[in-house]
Amino acid sequence: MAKQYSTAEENSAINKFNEYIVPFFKTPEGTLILVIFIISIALSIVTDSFLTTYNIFNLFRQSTVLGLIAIASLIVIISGGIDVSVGAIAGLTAMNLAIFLGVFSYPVFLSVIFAILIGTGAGLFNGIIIHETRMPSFIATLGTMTIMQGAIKLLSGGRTVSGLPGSFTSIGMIDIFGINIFLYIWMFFILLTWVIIKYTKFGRNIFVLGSNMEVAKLSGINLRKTTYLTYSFAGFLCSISGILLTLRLFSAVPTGGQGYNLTGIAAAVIGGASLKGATGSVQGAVLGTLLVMLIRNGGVHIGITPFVMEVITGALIIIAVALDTFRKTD
Amino acid sequence: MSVKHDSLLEVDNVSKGFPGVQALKKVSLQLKKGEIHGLVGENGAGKSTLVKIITGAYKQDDGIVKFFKNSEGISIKDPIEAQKFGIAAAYQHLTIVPEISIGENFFVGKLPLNKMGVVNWEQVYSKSKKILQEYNINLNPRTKINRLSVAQQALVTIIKATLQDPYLVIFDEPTAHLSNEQSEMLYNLIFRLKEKGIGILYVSHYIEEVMELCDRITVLKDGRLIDTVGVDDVNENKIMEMMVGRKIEEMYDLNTCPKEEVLRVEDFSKNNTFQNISFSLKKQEILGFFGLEGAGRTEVMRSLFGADKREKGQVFLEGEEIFIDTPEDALNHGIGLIPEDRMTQGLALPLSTSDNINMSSYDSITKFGVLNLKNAVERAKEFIKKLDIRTPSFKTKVEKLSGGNQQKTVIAKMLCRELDVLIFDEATTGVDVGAKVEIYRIIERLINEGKSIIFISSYLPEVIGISDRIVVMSQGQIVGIIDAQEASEEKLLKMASKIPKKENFHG
Repeated sequence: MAKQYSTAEENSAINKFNEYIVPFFKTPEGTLILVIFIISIALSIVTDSFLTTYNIFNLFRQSTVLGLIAIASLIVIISGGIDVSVGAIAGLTAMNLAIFLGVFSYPVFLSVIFAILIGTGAGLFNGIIIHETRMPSFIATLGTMTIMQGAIKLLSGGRTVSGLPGSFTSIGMIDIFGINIFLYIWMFFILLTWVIIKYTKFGRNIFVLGSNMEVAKLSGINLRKTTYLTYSFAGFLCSISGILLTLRLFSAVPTGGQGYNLTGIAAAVIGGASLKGATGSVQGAVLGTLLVMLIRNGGVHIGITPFVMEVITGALIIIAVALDTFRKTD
Repeated sequence: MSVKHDSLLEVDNVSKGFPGVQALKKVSLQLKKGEIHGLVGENGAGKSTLVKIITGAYKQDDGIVKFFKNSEGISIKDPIEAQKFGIAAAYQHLTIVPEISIGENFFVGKLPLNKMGVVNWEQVYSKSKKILQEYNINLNPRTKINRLSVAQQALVTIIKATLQDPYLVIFDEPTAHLSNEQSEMLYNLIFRLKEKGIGILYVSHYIEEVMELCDRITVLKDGRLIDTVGVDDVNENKIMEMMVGRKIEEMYDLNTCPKEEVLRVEDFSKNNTFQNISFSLKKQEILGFFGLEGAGRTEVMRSLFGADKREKGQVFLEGEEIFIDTPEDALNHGIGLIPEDRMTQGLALPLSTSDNINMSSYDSITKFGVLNLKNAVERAKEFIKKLDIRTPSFKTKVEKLSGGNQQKTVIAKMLCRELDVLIFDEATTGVDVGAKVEIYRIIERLINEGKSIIFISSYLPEVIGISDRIVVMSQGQIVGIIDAQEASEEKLLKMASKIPKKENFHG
């Protein structure tokens, strides 16, 4: 009834709100921005230490490793598959890099190139198994994940590899315009992936592949090439993530990357990627990463023990998959 | 009606409509105890709709379906109730689980237990063995279903359906995947059911088969009941006339003038699917492919297009042999395919109309590895206009479009490529009449542009009307190639119903 008395301007404002604002917050990205905003405000009010320049920059810096892995997971999920070996690839890359630098004393540039080749190669290996045997991607990458986790321990003898040269470790300390190099690297790969997804044949093909493999085949899409590229690119992103991990820890640990295998997938799915394929965005995966890291960071500031944080991370994965299901049933 | 005593099923003036099509118009049918009742008609005559109404899968708009188990008529609401009631539809492959053994499938839900409460497998397999022997089928009951051939699976499914103590069994095209010998086994099985007083509704294309097996035959055409006749009162030709009996409409009149040969297929063979397939296609010709379900037309075309492997066979394009291993190769050679099922083979449903139109041809709008999205959108808009694809926007998800507009999207996807030969596989099924005519016009335009068309269709007036020549297939073999002008529905149907003698084709 009240509506009858409202003015035309008020109506148009309400219409605009209904037309543009409401649908935006109903998208996965919009919902995430809203949730991240609310949690940040709550943390700022409850604690003194959350809303500081140092903490905010640190939060972003800490997000980069997971952030790159989430984008790698996203690419595979869009193509209709799933890659549970992403963290293991990052860990394998990190360990090899540390050994090249710390044990063999290879030059930094060469070590980084080798590390990238190993990570990308591991991704390609996933792609080859999945396409040539038609094995479900989950099973194939579960296998390679276990292989790689074993390989990391074999290479390192189960010990942390440290003593990396300063010429390497100092790279992680570089700030440009007061912002750490980690963030520039993350930003670069976010943009790169966004462009690939939107503006290349490969990027468009993974959506078709993810929606229906038979359709992709009958449309003349080269399934082998697309699958190889998808998993190689995921492996490549994970290798960059592994390099950042080494830079952050100044060393490589035998369990490196283990926690990221599923958290990366969770971040992508929280960001709107559908495990049924053909749906998902880079922006969403980035926001999903930020939410996961924000909750962890916030936990530290409120003083929740890491064990409880593990429980919360687990709950977040469940919520993520539930969200995926709800979106599908809509 | 006063036939209650020996009636099992009475269908009285049943009508059923779907958006854009009246599938059944006042159809009546009566099935007696121990009767084998044939139900025949062309594709689209309404046979499947009628079967689905009888089994409760569809609800009729009008009319009555009554079952007489005792003396009183009962109506049925859904397939589960139908099954409980003793109506077994042997076409439902869903009732068989591929990952478990034949024996377990027979006894699923009522596996015998021993004293310990553990499944008594010995009993399962010995009983199953007996059941199989009863029907003279020599299979090990421990074999998993997915290890069986399609034909064996069909037989096992049918036997399983009869285990539930039915009083009415419906067979929907049961011999489509069976060899002659296996068909004989099936006929024996059916006669055994008849002896038990069970009613049988036998849906088939094969007129010879129906004439041999059935007591009475009901003929449907375009959703109408033509007549129900006793087999002794008619012959094969009479049935065929009843099934056809319609003039070719003007809408099929396309202007074509076939020229020199452009494509030649030689000696395509694939084990149980098709054998010794050879044909040629002329420039600016529409070459029709007619056959009944399971004749192998789609499989031949998929193999030509590189979607499936074959054992042997060559392809010549303008006299030169070409090698096609994947659909990508076929498209690069200028051969395109509009697949049989647009929902599962033609379209990426969650993607936009524009994405779907462009997805076969990104190479032509890519420069230095980067896609020109503006070109993609322009091209999508161009085809949306040219083919009159009715969509709110090029961004609209293709799953939201109607059947006809979806089909035109699939065609647009192919037209983005430089093609010389275009294969249409049942391109007009499930689209409304208006869209059908538009698709014919698109084909006519393609012909005028110098392209050549292979047109698979199961709808006789259509295939006769638009083709220049017609290749007729039956059970994986070409049984004839005739000029469309000499073709009649009767003639084609007779050719397609022929069961080719397999042993002749090895020499």
